[in-house]
Amino acid sequence: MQLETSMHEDFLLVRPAQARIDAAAAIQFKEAMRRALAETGDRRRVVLDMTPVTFLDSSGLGALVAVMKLCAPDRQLELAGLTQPVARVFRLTRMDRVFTVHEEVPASPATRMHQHGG
Amino acid sequence: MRQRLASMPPCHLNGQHPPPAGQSRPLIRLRLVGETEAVRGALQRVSARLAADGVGQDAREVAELALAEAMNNIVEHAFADRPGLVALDIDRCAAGLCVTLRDNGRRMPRSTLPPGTLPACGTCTDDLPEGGFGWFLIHALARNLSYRRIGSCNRLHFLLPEDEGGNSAAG
Repeated sequence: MQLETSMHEDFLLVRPAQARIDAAAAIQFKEAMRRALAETGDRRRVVLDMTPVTFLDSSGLGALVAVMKLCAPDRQLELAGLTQPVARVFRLTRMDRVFTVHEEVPASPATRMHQHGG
Repeated sequence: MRQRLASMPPCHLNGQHPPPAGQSRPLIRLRLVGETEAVRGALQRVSARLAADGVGQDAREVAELALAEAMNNIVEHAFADRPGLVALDIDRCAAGLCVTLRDNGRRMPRSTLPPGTLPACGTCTDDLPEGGFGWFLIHALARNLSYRRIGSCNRLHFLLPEDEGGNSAAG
């Protein structure tokens, strides 16, 4: 699972390079997020850009919950730009009330860029 | 570990799928190994086939999610301790998409359908559930769910309505 990260003034932006966070990708996604969080400083807000993700199943949702727990208590995971199929999963499972969800990715110039393979 | 279709155990997976009641026509007949990568490939083929048959985007997305949950459940539980095969049959009928999934894995616990309840959310981040959403989603998206153990075979059947574009499940 490839992730691109960029440091912004008050948040870390993480963007998955793959369109599917599903049962076949959930563990790799969680591990890539763990590495990205460990390597990318101490921004309190972590914003996950979900615009490339067009399919999320319950395993992918579980991975996002796991990443939220990885961030706590010092950092907060926020989601931005849910596509329709991803938003449906959040709405049905009522996890849209648990996660902070932004309609759009916050606009802010990046100060540094990284790529995380895996 | 991969099994060839030819070496499948006698479990009716290769046999003719009984047509659902009422007017319907066969749309999809897929046979796949019980692995998450194979499920992903099958979902993409189903989505493309449904689009080619004129099924709308909402109904395609709902079908992809419901089928993902049902098939990944088979991979994770029915084939937890051995490899196996899954047969997916979809017929298009007046009410929507009639789905039949068969596999030659372990039976469901107590040979019954799991309930469609949401896992408890707890009171803090550490208590949040990381699983248990799958059957909730299947129950929320599908109608007429039924499960039967037939010999050494599991058969799950459900209907995915096509005309609910505005409701909370499809919208």
